[in-house]
Amino acid sequence: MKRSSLTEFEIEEEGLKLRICRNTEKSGNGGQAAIPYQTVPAFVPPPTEEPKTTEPTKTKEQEEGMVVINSPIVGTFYSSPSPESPSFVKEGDTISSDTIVCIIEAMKVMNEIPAELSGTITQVLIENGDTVEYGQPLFKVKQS
Amino acid sequence: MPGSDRKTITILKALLEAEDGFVSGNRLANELGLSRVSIWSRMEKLRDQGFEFEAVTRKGYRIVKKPEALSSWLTRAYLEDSTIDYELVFLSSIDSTNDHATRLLANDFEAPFFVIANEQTLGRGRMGRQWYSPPSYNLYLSFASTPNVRPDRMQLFTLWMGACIAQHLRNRLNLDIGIKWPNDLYFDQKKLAGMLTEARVDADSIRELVFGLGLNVNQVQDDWPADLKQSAISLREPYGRKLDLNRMAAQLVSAISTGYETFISDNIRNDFEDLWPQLDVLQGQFIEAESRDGPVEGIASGLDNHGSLIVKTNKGKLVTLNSGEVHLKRF
Repeated sequence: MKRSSLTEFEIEEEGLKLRICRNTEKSGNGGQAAIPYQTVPAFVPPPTEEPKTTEPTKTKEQEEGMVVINSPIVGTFYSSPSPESPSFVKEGDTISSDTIVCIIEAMKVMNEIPAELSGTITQVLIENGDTVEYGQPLFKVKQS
Repeated sequence: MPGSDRKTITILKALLEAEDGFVSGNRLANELGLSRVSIWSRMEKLRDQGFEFEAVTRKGYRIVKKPEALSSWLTRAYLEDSTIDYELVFLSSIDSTNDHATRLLANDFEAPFFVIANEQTLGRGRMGRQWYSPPSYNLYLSFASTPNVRPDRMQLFTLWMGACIAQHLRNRLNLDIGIKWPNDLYFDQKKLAGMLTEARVDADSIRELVFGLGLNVNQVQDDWPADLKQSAISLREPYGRKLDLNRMAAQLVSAISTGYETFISDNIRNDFEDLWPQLDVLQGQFIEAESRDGPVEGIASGLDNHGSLIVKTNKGKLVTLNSGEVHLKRF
């Protein structure tokens, strides 16, 4: 179905009605908004089961209530809005789900990353200016 | 926009279209279904905003002076014919149009919309660098939207918007305007405009997107601060005379809206690949830049599929730059 332009079809047979829909996301933008570029494999996120993520999982098992904030995108990590300003967050800071924890510059876009969880930052895992991969752990957080 | 404002804009548009000619008060009254007194009171309101009109018996009204500074009335009147129906938020002074747009989004202001300011007190570019933003000369505007697309769809966004804006200005003013990768417009090796795209990313989707543009329009050489004199330029200098700031604002609102809508609904890759070589001011130039593995020197050789800059070093090695500062090396 994904290969076709169908977004929905319906079959009715012997009292069984089957309706299959494909989520086309926000239709306000012409209905094609969700189609990603096909020619850019470098940015297709690797599956999260890859061995890369074993470390944070292990961390989770070892330390009760500890979680990590992972990078949602590939890009350059910035801990503050400008080189002169203080970091968005540092170890010991209390965060809520809306707290901006860093900026990741990717494809000429400055992306503000919200924490999406609340707790206390216990460790900053990378340095200002580092390149980050999809799913790479950025911060260790003790969840509240 | 309230309906009464729309009628005032229609009056203004009729007067602007007549240029030096007169517009009959009777005609306006009939077309808009308003009384002559009501037309008059609307024009009084515009007088308070810096417009001047002449009224001649049996001929009607004529516009004799328009505000030179940014005017929400004038920009809206110029936009009246276009299909753009996004909300325009006008401000006389603000810290930064990108910051204000972000605050409006946080307060659930309905997107897409534009924020346009006459002055910025904390205008900024990439990495918090200052963007010189004095009142009344130039344009500072931000476009905000909630596109809800995957972040990897955005890789050509800033470059595409820059290409749309540069192309629009080239066609309109017949000036050889180009783009210095990744986010500046250039004329004659000087900076004409800067762009800054900021997003809020949330669970694999772009939740909020703010695209900001600072465009030097009517700044004259003597007015630049000392540190910018050699490196900055406005449209006025090569164009040879002052530009109508409000007409420029209306046209940019139109160009940005169209560029954004095309980007979201179509695959712009082919169009972009056609446009870019005509606009790329770095192409074939000897440059230096910071890459993640240290400084790079070489010849700028176009873009790869992701919009990254390809640099050919003197050893013939190809290095790609994802982001960062590029400097033209001069000899």
